[in-house]
Amino acid sequence: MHNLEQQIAEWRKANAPVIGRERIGELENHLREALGELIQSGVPAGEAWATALARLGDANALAAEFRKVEPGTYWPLRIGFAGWIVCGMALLFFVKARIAGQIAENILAVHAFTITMGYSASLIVGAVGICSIGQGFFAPLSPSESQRLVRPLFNFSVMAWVLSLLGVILGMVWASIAWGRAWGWDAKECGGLAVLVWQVAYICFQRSKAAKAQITLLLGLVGNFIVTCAWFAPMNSGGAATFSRPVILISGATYLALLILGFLSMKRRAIGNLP
Amino acid sequence: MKLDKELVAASSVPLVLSILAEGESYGYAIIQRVRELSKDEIEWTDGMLYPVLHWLEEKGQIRGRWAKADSGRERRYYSIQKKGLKTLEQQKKQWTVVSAALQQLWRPRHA
Repeated sequence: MHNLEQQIAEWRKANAPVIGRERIGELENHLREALGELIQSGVPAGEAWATALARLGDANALAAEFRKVEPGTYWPLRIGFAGWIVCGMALLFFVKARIAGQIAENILAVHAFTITMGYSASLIVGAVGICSIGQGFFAPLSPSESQRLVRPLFNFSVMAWVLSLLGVILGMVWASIAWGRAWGWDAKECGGLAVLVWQVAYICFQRSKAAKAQITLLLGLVGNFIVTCAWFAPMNSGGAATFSRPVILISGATYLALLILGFLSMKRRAIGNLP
Repeated sequence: MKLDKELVAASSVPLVLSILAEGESYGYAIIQRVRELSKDEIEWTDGMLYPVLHWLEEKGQIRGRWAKADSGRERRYYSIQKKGLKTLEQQKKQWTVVSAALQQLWRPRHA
């Protein structure tokens, strides 16, 4: 007997990597509809399978057609990623030049590198969100365009978390050598902890079913505010205390305004695009 | 009669938008409707409809959503959006101009 379910499963397994996991589901549905109709009209299962498959077309040709209509990666993300890599390389050279002396100094240099890269990766995610708000007033991203950002933003968020975590751990090691204690609940340390908690929450949100691409982009701004607070928070020595407050207040107000603007623009688009 | 590939490709967008202007639909039903309207003269490779649908979605002209059909199977339904209606109006005007010009040229002439 012709096992159609097995054939569909094999077809799916073979073609999902070529066509893409999101699209294969829709094509499989199409294949099932065609098969159902052919079998109902009295065509034997084997023949129905061959006919439905021929009508659907070759997977490689389909994949080529999909590639033709695919938009590239969102340009702010491309620019952000390129800038992040270039700055990272420059910073790496700077750090390498400083590594020579005592172990504590080396740890501090690597801590500075990982924290800077982790925090800046988080900031880029928020910056992409800001660009999407700005673009929303001229040529808004379509839901599928936003959807295509989900994966790179997720990867970037994970990278930001790994680097920040490494930075915080190295900071603790350095503090225990230099100050005799690993953790002292000062503003800088609490800021680092807040960033890590936010990053984990943001990653979990992106993986949840409730996550929509446009909301994910906007929530990146919350991350930017937390990172700004952590970056400009006063250190144990207290030197930056007077500088941090206005920066935090101004950035908080700006991010809040942008967030409201983004949600309003998203709402307006949802209503305005209805036929 | 088999239509030229180029003509089939050029007519795909106005056909899809016109069908979706009638109401929400899904891939397989769109193909069936095209076959029915053209009395099987327009031959689409079924799968080729989907890149067109995805492209229209990227452009914000249609919107897709997954929903459960009566059969219990998940289907991706597409509906036309404001932008798509505008494009359809433009396409209608353009195809009408082409069609009217050809009709005039091909009208039987009296000697």
